[in-house]
Amino acid sequence: MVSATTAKVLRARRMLRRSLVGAALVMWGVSTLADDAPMQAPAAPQPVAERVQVLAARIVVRAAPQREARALAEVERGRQLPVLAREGDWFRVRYGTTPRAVGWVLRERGAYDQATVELLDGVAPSLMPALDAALPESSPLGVARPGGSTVRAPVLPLIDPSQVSPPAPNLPRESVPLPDRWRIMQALGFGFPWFDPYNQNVLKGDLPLTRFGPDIFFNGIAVSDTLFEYRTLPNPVPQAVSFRPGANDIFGRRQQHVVATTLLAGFSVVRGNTTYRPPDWEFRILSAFNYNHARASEAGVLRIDPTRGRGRQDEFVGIQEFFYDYHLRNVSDRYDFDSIRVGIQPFTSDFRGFLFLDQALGVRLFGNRLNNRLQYNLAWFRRLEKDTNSGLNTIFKTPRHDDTYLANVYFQDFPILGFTVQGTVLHNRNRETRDHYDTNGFLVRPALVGDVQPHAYYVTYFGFSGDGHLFWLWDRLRLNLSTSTYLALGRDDRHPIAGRAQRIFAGFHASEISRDFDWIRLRANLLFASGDSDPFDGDANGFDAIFEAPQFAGADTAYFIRQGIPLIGGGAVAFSGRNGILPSLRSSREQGQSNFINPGLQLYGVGADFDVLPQLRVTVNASYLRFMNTTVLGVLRQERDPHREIGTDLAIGLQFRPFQNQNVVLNASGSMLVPGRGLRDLYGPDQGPLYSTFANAILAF
Amino acid sequence: MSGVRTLAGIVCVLALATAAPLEARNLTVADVRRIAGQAEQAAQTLGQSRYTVAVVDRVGNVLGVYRRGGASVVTLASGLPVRGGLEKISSSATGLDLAALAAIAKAVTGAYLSSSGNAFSTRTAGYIIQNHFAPGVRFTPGGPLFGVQFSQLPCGDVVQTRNPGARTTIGPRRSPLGLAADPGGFPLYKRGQVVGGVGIVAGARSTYGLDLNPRRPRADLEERIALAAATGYRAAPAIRADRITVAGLRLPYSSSDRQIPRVSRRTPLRAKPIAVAGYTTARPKSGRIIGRIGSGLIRANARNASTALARRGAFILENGRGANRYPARSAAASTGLSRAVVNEILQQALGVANQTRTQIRNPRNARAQVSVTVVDANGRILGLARSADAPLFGIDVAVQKARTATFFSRPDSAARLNRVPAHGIAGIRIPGGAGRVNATRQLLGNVLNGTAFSTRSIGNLARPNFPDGIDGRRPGPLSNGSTWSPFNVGLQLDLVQQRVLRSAISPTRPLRSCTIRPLGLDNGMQIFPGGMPIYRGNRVVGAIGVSGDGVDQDDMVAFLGLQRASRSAVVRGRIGHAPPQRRADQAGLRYVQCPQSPFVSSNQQRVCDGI
Repeated sequence: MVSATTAKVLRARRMLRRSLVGAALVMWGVSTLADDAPMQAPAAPQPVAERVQVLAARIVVRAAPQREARALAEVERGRQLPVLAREGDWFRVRYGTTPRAVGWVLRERGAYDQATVELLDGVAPSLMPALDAALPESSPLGVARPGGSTVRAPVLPLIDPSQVSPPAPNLPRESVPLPDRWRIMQALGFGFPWFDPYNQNVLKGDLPLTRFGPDIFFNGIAVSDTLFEYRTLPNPVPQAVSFRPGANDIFGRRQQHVVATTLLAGFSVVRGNTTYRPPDWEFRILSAFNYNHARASEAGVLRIDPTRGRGRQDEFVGIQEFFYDYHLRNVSDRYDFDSIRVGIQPFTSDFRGFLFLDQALGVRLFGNRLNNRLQYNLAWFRRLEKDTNSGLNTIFKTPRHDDTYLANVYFQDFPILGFTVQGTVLHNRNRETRDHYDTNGFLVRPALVGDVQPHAYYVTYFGFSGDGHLFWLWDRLRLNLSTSTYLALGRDDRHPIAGRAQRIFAGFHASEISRDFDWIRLRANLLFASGDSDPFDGDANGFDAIFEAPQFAGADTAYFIRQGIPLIGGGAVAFSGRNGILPSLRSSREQGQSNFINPGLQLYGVGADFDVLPQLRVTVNASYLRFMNTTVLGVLRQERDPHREIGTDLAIGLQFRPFQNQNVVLNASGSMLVPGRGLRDLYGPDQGPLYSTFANAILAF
Repeated sequence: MSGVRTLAGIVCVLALATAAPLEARNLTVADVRRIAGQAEQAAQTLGQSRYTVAVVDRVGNVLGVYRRGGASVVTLASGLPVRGGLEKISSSATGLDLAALAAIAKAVTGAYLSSSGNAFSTRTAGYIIQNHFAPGVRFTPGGPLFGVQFSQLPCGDVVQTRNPGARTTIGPRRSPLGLAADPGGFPLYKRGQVVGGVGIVAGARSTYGLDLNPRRPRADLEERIALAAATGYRAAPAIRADRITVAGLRLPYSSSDRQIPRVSRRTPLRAKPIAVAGYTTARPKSGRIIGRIGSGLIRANARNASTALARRGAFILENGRGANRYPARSAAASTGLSRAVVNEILQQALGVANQTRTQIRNPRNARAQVSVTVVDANGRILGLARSADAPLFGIDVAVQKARTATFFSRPDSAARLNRVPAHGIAGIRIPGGAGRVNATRQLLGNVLNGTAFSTRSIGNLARPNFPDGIDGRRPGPLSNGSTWSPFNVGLQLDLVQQRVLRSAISPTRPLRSCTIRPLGLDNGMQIFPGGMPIYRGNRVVGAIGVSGDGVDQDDMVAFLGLQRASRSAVVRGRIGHAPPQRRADQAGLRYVQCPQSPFVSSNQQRVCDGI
């Protein structure tokens, strides 16, 4: 979110003020020397140093310590010459390998006020690369950071012998007038087609819109996402009409397929110095056009009217982002800042999207402190109604009566280096007491379950998350950890299943531990979401999120996460919504209300990512899933509590990026849920595995 | 904690249900007086000077009707802006004592819909008979018991004495207005067993209707009085309707739980019992004990039924002298429905029921309890048996379903319907059958000429929209569409309306048939699942009707029961289901739907596909 890398930025800015072409750091170091520390006459006599290094482009070695002495040789920049003796500014050096290759060089001011040679104080000559990094913090050459310690005494950098000589600014032919620093390449004669996003492009925010100002940038966004999906799901047979004579049960055929394409188009306008400090303001709009076609093997599944057939076509235009971001102020020399963003904006509540990941309408105050080590968000969001079949924001309907207030803090390198922790307090107030039907005619709020009475709930989540490396802790193991823990407290004024007010008390924990072995990453996943043991009592102990989109345990490649399995015969609810993991028995992940009377979940998983080629990643996952408590399932279907075992989810995903970038991404996945005893109790012992396969192509400009 | 409480409650109920012998409990006269007294106190507390309270036993005998302040003016009104049918019939206009009749209907409903595993009130009934389930939720199909209000009718042959004109003492008894959906009727329990029901009508003016918007519940005056009256006889919380789900929907029981007036059992009763012609004298009676001769229901044994039925734990209807009212008997020889075949169908259906998971009974995963009947193609009852604790309303409804299935599956059903003329009573016009036949033909073509209709299929045609529940679609051809209401459903009411009203006007002259023409639908037709025609080859020879613990269960018990019977050694395929190509699912209607998790002791699903 907050992305200013201030130290680097500052250094680079100073460098650029001095240089037209963005020269090497060495030059800056040298010129700093010239600026800040006029050369001092060395104190004589001194013990003989080992070497001098040639800093001038070339110097002449003379036979005697006099300017008029016979020239013996020329030595080029960067050479290091062993010093044999010294007289004042003259050094007697060995410039060759033969015994006779000995002569005198003079230390004096040369071009740019730079010394012709400089004494090396016992530094090994092999340290030329990593010039900056090799210098310890106490080095005199340490970069003076804004807000840091005072400027230290400069010392000469080592010079890379292979480096091109810096230009001489005082030579007129090397100075080219430019409209701004972003057009250097054009000024040098390079030209790129207007549509080329890989080079500087005015459409992609690389160059300012000079007509409006030197620091107004435009960034156009165009993404196409096309999906083909085939899945098997338990489908109910329509109750009131028959399309398939002989379908005599409540469960019908299971196949469904979907073809969908989404075109995202939008732009942002930014005022600022695009690269080096946070922009002053930004306006962004992102619209999405979706076309989808779905077909199920039973009628009444995709649309409530069974006589409208088994297929469904729909299209929708949604606004996914529409916000204005204003940079309130900088609070430190390192561009720690406060900023405010108003409008429809993306937000993720934690590292993995367990609780709230949405493009919601809201106001968010955010910023950072402590040199970007601390980042904070204070926000209010009101959820927008989603279009049922595309999942896109509907802006022409009244926003939902669902508010989320949150405060969170990210702290980097805490408690250990390489690890970021986050603390969150998030309050969700839902007062949706009017019926809402989705575009297919199904009641989504309240869910068609229990006594279907409208209800409101107020729940506060206390969360603690962490993400990063545990190298510092256990260096040898080189483990990565991503973890989230939530406690949900609140009340539901009258839950439709319980028929009474509920105290909400529920917990959630998820962890992923991973380790990289070269091109392989191995992962182990664990997830617990508490379940409710007695639907009729006054406590709701099942955990539910606000709007989850978990990037966990295979995410959308895994069957149980990708597909929402309907609880047929127990109300119009599903275990987990599409792209959700919590089996919270909502009517819909996008449009339904949270439900804290649910069976909960346990997930134990392993997985691996294989970067088989630079272009190809293969991801595999296996998860074993169980409910925490199935009483609510038994109650809703008025049958004995099903077994807690959901089953084993096996998934494989392929990601192919032919150009090794995000502009063309091809994904494919296949997953299979092998039903455990619980699903066999619910849908029959002979149903066989459930499948979910898809392929999608993302093309981005 | 409360999980433990619930469990304990369920265990208690179980223990009581099994420990106490089923036949042991009834309402005594003292109980009746106590209940009436508690109603009186509650009415006083609530400032009601005019009320009627009726107490019935489980088989519908009216034990006492008490009244103070004269009869309330009662109007039958659903609250929907429609006219026709029984809508807007009021006691002021007709001179009928609708207050007493409504109170009895409510009490009967409470008693009849409940069992030792489920307590359903008239509010529950109102929830499951509407055009949407849940009521008020658009696009959802109708309630599972859509049409059940027109059962237990005051005319007809099943819930009726065998000797019209005699003093009626044998249950199950009729209800003067069918089953009631108006809040204010509850079952009464003694130690976990249903022993009867109580119904209240209160206020100077009272509307006999139903709660059209149960999703915004409000306390109801009559319900508050009835709950107070039932103090000491209330259902255990664990078996109340609000602990039972159907399709994930929790059924309502009462919306007045927090506003029950406190009553004392010692306060003396001042109201006097009244006589209601055709139902009760002014002397309170004690209730009958189910299982004993005189109650109307006794356990089947080898003499009165068959060993197979006795082994299934079946009960049968008795005539007051211990004789089986509906012993298995043969239809015409050409039908293949011999006595043995009928017995086999009954016992196989009960066998399926004993395996079947109930939908409306706690504890969950209990065995379904149902009433089963077999009729011939003319609607004559060939045999009837039931599970021990099946809800009582199922006796009449099972017969209605069987008769409806066979009536519509006969090749001459269109012709027979066409012969029902438009008629009327007391200025009310009642349409004939021809219009329904035409509407059906327009929708589905010529299907009323031998297509096999189950009552589920007929129900599909008898909902106010086709497809069921889809608002804005055309009316089902057997329904009234835009003028539909629970008091004006369509053909189901048209066929019986005149006789129902005549029975209300002249209650002491019971009518043996509810239809003005002999249609083989003597106790009325029924439009929710559970009836299947029986075929011999391509010929419909009769039907099986099942009613009890859930409509999908009824469907499955009928469907698998007939299937198993057909394959049994006794029947050897001589009779069985309609050939698949004749069934109504070929015409776009559902023929049968078996429930999820159908059996108690296995996790099988989809047990009916392909049959």
